Amino acid sequence: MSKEINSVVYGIAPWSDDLFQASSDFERGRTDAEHLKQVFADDDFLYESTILAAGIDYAGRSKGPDQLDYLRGIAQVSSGLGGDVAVAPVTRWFDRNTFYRQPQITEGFAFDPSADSQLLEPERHRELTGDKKRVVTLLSPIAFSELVDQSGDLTKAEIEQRVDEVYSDILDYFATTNKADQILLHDPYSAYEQRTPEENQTIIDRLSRFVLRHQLDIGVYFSNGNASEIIAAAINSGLAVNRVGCDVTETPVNELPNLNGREFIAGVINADNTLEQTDEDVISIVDNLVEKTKVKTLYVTHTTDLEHVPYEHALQKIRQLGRVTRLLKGANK
Amino acid sequence: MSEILLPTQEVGSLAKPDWRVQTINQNLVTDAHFEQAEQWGDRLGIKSDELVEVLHSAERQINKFGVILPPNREALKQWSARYAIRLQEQAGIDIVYDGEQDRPEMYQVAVEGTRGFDWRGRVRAFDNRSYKKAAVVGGVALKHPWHTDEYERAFKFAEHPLKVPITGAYTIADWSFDEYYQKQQERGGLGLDRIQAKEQFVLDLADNVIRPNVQSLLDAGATWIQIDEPAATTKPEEVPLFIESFNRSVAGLVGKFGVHICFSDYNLLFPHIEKIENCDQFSLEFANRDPRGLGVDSAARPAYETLEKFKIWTPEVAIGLGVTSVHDSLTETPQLVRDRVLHAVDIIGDPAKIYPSPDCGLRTRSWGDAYDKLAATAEGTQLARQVL
Repeated sequence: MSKEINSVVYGIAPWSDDLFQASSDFERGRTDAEHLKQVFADDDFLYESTILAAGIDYAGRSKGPDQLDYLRGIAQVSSGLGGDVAVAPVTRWFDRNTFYRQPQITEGFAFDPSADSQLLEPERHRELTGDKKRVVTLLSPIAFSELVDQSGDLTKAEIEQRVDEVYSDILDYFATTNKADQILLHDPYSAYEQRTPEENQTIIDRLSRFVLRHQLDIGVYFSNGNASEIIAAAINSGLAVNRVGCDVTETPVNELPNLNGREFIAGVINADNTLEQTDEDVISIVDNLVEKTKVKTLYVTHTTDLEHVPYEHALQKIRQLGRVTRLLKGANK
Repeated sequence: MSEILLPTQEVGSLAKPDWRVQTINQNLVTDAHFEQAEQWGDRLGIKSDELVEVLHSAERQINKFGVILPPNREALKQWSARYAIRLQEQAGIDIVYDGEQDRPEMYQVAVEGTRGFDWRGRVRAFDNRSYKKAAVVGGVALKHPWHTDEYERAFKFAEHPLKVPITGAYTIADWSFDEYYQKQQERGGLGLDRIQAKEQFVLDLADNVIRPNVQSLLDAGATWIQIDEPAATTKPEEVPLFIESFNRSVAGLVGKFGVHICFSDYNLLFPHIEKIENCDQFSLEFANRDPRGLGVDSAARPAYETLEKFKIWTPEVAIGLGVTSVHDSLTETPQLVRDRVLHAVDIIGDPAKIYPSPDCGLRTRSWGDAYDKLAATAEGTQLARQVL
């Protein structure tokens, strides 16, 4: 194998058991703000230290008190929501026992760059990870507009238009502030249900119009199902992003198109289950992917957000990601 | 309950009072805990002198031994069950339980009572709420009946009829990691693929864990058991598996059985749901997704649209109708509850098949908020009865 290999940790990170407990205790008046702040810092430190020790190449994670779910992150940096998102309906996150608050957006939905949000300050933890390259993960605009409450006054087309405008402004913010080395648009929606080729093309066309406006390093990652058809649509349409990718434990590698020297993000470390994979199994998945798709540069990562496994298991998976990447890089020399 | 039109019911959990949590955890018992016990005793019409003495006794034991001795531990459990039941009855709820005061959480209590699981840690449910998640690491079997002691305790204190909630097989499996059934496949043992592994896991739970539990509750005198399956529709292709697991959990048993599903797309239940057997009630969440404006027509009450399908596919099964949201502290007005009930009656066509309730357990709300929401449920239902 003679390809460039990078490792990526993205998305919403897990909270430790101690942090859940401290947060709950604080809410119920059983502990003070100082204790909660300390537990949060300890949790952060161990997580970032593990990323650093594992030698992960690109890292970024969302876990702040202001980003309790993916949609909350966007809601916290915007105005024009229909009501307080903190009491918005609790809605199931796809097929998981995890839920999010479902915001409703209005005509006035707009980006607020002055918001005090960790989403806008990805370098806040740079002191822990040195010059490690920062990935900012955003829920894809496709998923965001599908997952908000659509029962308000705006039509679906109007919702999509508002969402794309806000996302454009967010990307502009990162382009002008240089606070992110990469943007990862995580899309758990588009592969969840198998769609017609026309529907997939509509999704890709919308993404194309959206990303073309920005001079940023952008990747689009599809999780939560077999993404082979939407990946094919993206490749065949020449989607103008730096790389696409998917969970290759859910997407059969032999169904992926020829990537013809492109960059690809491969979800190979299973973040859905605590069942440990062997390093050999993971490497076998990667070898098979490279052989079948002729990929040029590979970003190996976890299959979905690490918050879906408990904290200690997430740390183990980060260590395995680092270990496997080193082995792959070694084989590459 | 057939003599009451539109009987109101609880769905499951209530928060545990601080005086119980802190004392049983051997933390400091403070003046605030004594005040809370006394104030709620006054509000519920329960003489709290004995509870206060239990708290004092527990406090002395913590100071002297660092632990609470079993008699006081049991007394604290009894008192919190008594308070929780009385809270519901005083709020006007017709069918009650003990607010699951002896359960840490619906999944945790199931795993702790079952062989074949190891804990793996906490994962987020929503906001800063989490649940402990386990992995199945071996064949599953019942360690001991989960809820018979709890039921007997509740029976002692309740003046209203009881409905016992119990976590269902499909949900336990769906919320667990699988380090056993899938691994058997890898090792060539059971030869199961991922789908077969899930099926075997769910049905083993139904046969070896839930059914014996239900039987134990019936033997203890319980007459109405609600199987909680919030995960029932999360994987559409597995809805038939959920239904098979329910059927195997209660087939041939004599009692009243229901299933509670919440925060789900109920459309996914159809048409499979027509194969459910021995099920008397679907307890469903609606208020969470319903607007708060008044009105009894479909435009005003969009969240209740899927009731039409239940009427078509399962006309004999009653509906536990979620009319108050459990995920916020904004108490619904009785008039809003009334309109939700009347709209449901209009769809189903028979008020005898409607049981107004909160959307789900109220464990994430304070007792004050929970009381207000239960009272709104009862008062709004009374307004609906007057209209009918």
